[in-house]
Amino acid sequence: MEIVGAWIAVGLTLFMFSFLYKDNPFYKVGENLYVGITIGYFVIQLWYKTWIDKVWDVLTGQAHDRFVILIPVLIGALLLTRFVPKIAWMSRWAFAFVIGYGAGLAIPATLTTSVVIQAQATAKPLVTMPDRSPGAAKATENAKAAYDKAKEGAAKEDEKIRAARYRYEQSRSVSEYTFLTAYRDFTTIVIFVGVFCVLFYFFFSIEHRGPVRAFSRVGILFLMIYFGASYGNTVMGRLSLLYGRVLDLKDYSRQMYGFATPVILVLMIAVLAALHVKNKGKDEGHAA
Amino acid sequence: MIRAVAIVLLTAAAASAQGLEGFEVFDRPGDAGGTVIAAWKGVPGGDAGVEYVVSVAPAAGGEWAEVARFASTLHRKVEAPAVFGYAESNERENYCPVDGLLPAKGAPGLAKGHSLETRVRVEAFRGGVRVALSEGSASARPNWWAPQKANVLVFALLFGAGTFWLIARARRNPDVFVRRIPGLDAMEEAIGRATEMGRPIVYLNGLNGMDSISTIASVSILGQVSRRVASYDSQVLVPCYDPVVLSVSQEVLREGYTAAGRPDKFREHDAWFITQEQFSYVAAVDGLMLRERPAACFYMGYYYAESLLLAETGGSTGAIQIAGTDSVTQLPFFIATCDYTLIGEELYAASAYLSREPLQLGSLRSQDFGKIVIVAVLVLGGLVAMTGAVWFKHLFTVAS
Repeated sequence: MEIVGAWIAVGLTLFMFSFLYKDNPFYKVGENLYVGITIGYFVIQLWYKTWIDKVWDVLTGQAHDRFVILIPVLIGALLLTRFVPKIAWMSRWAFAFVIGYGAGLAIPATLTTSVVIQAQATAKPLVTMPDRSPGAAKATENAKAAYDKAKEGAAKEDEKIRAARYRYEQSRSVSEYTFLTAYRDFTTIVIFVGVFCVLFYFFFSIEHRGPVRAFSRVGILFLMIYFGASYGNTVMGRLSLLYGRVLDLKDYSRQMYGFATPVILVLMIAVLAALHVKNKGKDEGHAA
Repeated sequence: MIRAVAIVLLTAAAASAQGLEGFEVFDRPGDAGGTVIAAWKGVPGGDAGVEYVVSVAPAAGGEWAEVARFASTLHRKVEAPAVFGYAESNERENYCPVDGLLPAKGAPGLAKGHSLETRVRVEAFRGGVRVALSEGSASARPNWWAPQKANVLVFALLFGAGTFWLIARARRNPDVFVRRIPGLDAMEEAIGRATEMGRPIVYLNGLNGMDSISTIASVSILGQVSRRVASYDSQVLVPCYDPVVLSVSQEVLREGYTAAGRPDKFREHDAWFITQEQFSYVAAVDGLMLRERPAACFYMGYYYAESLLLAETGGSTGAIQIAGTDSVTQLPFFIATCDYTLIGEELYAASAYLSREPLQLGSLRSQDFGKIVIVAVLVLGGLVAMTGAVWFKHLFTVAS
């Protein structure tokens, strides 16, 4: 059974990869099988997970409010009125419900995560004022003492010294204007300029001329830097998926799987070559 | 003898244990129910080295059950600004959330989020000796009003009111300026090219449903594209991922052909459903592209990991490709593989620009005003933060 599974896995993987050559019968088989299986799977899922679990079991249960479920069922059923042109307008009620609740859910969530929280996180002091309070000075003193103690420790554990130094530098950057404070301010300013200019790029009510054009140019620069980084990051992720698939193909090349990968690969190449020769002959015949 | 004395002393200490300062038990405000909160200001004599033990019991009577035990440095009120706000004293005061007790099995049930009247007892121990004890009771219930999200409500109302006002203005005067987006010129060019080459256009609405703003914008652009296609007597193919989007797309195509005066040319099967599984949908669309070799491909709406697979295949067929999405993670792939890409809000702007619908124009103008407000908040927030004040930051905090 394991060998059958391996042959199916290798066969379908190679059928889908054959797309890299060009559209061919193997790809068509893979494509139609894939679409057919997923539709079948979703129909079964809908039947058992939606209709049986969420409707039938509720209606045949004992809950006193079980008939409330008929309201969403009715709304869903309105979508089917599209098949009857005379009453197809009723399906709009269902669409209105779907769009209405979607917007109702999305607006507060989007406003919170994409506007309010982002604005709060970006509105930082562009230049940090050192905290001259006795509390901050005391905290720095304590952190310095802890750092000195860690340095003098008999074990001289690097990790502990590094941690103590980190705490001391952090504490000092609050009570004094240090390199770390300057670095933080620089980061804040870069983020501020980026957000500011990107927002200008997305102004549609004004023509991009003069200073607005300059701001929007800087904005698109920030966007492209982000897109480039994101592209590289995702490509690396995709390559790891490809490695996984190639490793599977390598595993299935072994004798215990009946040399599934090389055998199917050779057969596919032979068939594709034969088809190529046959089609070439046909094309030449048409040309003649 | 010594042991007996110790027991007597400890018992006396326990018996004389004072109450916790400012102790109170109440239903957690602004939640979906199920939780009560015990809060207190401290222990007489300071809370250094104090350990708290929290127990619960049904108010109707029953055994105490310990639910939490923690040092006084933990569970500070400052961790729950949604309940206690931003007072400075919150850094020194404690609280403990407790699950409200539910009826026993077989007893009459309660509505969702409600609990029985729950007694909460907090004991403070110092060096193993109980130094304070307080009790209170409350029942949990769900709340309609979440005060910690009031700022979001205010912003939503202001933004909503502004949007309605701008839509009303756009209705009175539809001649609202929207700057030209380069990708839109390319659309016209792509449709013209498809007509000249006698090849179809493939138009995808993305993978989200009709409740997604990008899908709504995409369908709106499809309406404009279908008008052009109808007037040029070309063909647009719309393979759909979502059945509801399919129905809307068919309606939009029908309207587009009718508006162009060519209702007879409308073919309902030009928009069809494939499947709702991401990669089998891609496999089918890729196969379609290779077989039909479209002159232009439009990818509008929201996309996931399939974006590069689609756009790479479209590119390999030599089609002009125009994408428009607000899916930030997929934009890089469209930018790398398509001739023109509408980035984020440009998709909505394109929809408004092409349709000239007051609703969309007003919304677009409202978004621009929203951006002006955000820019002002950033500048003002940065300046206020430099003074060390935190009240401005709290205005934009959605406390948890």
